[in-house]
Amino acid sequence: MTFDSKMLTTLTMLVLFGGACLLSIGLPAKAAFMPLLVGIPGVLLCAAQLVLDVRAARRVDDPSETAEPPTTEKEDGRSEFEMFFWLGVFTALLLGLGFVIGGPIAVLLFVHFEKKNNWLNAMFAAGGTFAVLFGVFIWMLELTLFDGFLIEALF
Amino acid sequence: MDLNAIFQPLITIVTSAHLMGLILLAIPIGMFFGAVPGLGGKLGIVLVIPFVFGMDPLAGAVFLLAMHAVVHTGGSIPSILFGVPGTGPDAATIVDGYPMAQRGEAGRALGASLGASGFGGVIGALFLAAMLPVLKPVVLAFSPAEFFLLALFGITFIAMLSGRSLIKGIAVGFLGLLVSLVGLDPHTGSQRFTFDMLFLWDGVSVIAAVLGIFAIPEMLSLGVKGGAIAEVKGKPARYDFKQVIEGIYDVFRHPWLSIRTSVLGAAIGAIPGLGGDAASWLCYGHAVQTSKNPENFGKGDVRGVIAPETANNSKEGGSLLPTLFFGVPGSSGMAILIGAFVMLGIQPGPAMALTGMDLVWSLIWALALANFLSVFVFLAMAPAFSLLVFVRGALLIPFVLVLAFLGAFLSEAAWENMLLLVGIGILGFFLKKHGWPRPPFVIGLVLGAIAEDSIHKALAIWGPTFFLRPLSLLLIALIVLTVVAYIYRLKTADKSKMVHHDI
Repeated sequence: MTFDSKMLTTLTMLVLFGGACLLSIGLPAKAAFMPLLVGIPGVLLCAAQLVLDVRAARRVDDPSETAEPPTTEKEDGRSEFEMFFWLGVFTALLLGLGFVIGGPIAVLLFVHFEKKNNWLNAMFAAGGTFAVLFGVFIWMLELTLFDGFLIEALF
Repeated sequence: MDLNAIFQPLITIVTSAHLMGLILLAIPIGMFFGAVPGLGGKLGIVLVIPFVFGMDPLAGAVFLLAMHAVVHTGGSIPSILFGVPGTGPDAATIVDGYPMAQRGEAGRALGASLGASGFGGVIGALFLAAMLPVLKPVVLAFSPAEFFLLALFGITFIAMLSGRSLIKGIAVGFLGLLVSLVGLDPHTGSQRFTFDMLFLWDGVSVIAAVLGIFAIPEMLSLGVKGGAIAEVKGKPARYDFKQVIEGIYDVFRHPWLSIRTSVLGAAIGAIPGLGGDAASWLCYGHAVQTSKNPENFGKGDVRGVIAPETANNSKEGGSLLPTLFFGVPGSSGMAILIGAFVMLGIQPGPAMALTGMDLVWSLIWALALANFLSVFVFLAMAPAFSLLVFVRGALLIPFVLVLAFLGAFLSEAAWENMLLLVGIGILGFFLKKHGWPRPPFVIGLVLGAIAEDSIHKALAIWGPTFFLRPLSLLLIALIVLTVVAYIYRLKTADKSKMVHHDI
């Protein structure tokens, strides 16, 4: 039996419900009532699912079938790790440089490096993103967008 | 009957350039999300949320509903031209639509689908309007005890509807309920699961959570999958506009079939849990059964296009009934719509029957207008829509990610929500990957506050025996029946023929 991400997901759900139940114990009775009413059945459901997952993993005799499914499906597909990396890049750029600067840079980097497109396409995509962020959200809708920690610290 | 209350919202909409402009803008956007296989209406609503932020509730709701109403109209394009369904419920259209395209009648099939969609959508809106007088006394008969049970009922239904495992569905629904409890407890004022973080005192942002659970996992999955969104091979079938017009006339050449399947679709839509697939396939089956020459179906019979397409659009009107008046969404798409409505300051529930009828009528008219106007938008833009199936996923990923972050930030002008989005997004990715349905999470999140308030009130009024009231017992019976029906379906259904959507 392999401990795969399927079981880890079930275990995460179990921990979330279990943690909520434990935290509720320290709350006043009225505040704890609903979290416990939801959390306890949640723990039971996730425990039942975990049992089902373990039994399903044991039923598979061929060890190769219990392994993780391939993470890329096509030639131009990426691994999950790469996509999580890009999610991290977007988060860091948007938090650091804000939407108006960080957004277009994130789009430019993704389109150019990840899809191996030429700089012209990437700059066109980044320009479009800037136009939407600035033109629609700041100019038309008059919303205040996040400036980014780095920009706030510098200016 | 107060005709002024019914028609005043229509006059308000058609005389407002702003509202009419929003409807006309929403139609191509909705059709875009329907026409690109793999996107769908749910992701569409999630992604336009940043654009409706700060809008007047009526304008925002009209825009979102108009967009959601025409998703299936766009979804029929790849079904007919390529044999690839734009959205799940459009699969029934392939059976006769694709053979029609293959024998050179693509335009006629598209026209029939378009006319049927518009016709069905308008009938669905009328069905909703006709049901209002019946529904009001039913809604008012509900007490806090029933509203708590309705929340459980909604989660159970959506859990059954949206995934292959009821255990996983209910667990995700309960997780949504749990997340809705984050913040200051309304009864004691004590901090609940806030970890001393100020931005959590008012609770978790519904928008950040909805964007996290839907948009981020979809884009991560798209990145891992790579390539175009759908496996589409070959060129689209050629057609001319004469054929399209002839197809629209076909809907009116079969008036009784169009009316019957529209009403049937709307009625199915009003039953939470049956969902879009059931509506389109049941109506297709009805068309076959009531036909004098059923042997023509499956070989390119235009009635095989009309029946599922009328149902696809009319069910949206029906599913607004439980969504608006009970807060129990009629479909998984409506679950997301509820979240967006809450963001706009509209709280679906029984209060709608008392104080929100203006809004309800506005939504009914918006639904009818969007379906009617979609016919003309489609005629103008059909050639461009047929190319959408080739859209490369990689083009969408960076824009959608930026929009998702933007929506999360704008929901409360808090940068912390961007981190919350990432956290929920990563959890959502693994939930999607391993078959944990995500729509119940949204229902739990939206209904959590009502459920908690209702159970405290019910306990204060009736004590622990609150669930022994007749209406409560009926709801408990319905919850049990849902579970029993699910188990029965699971044991008896032919697994190879079961349709599941990865949501």
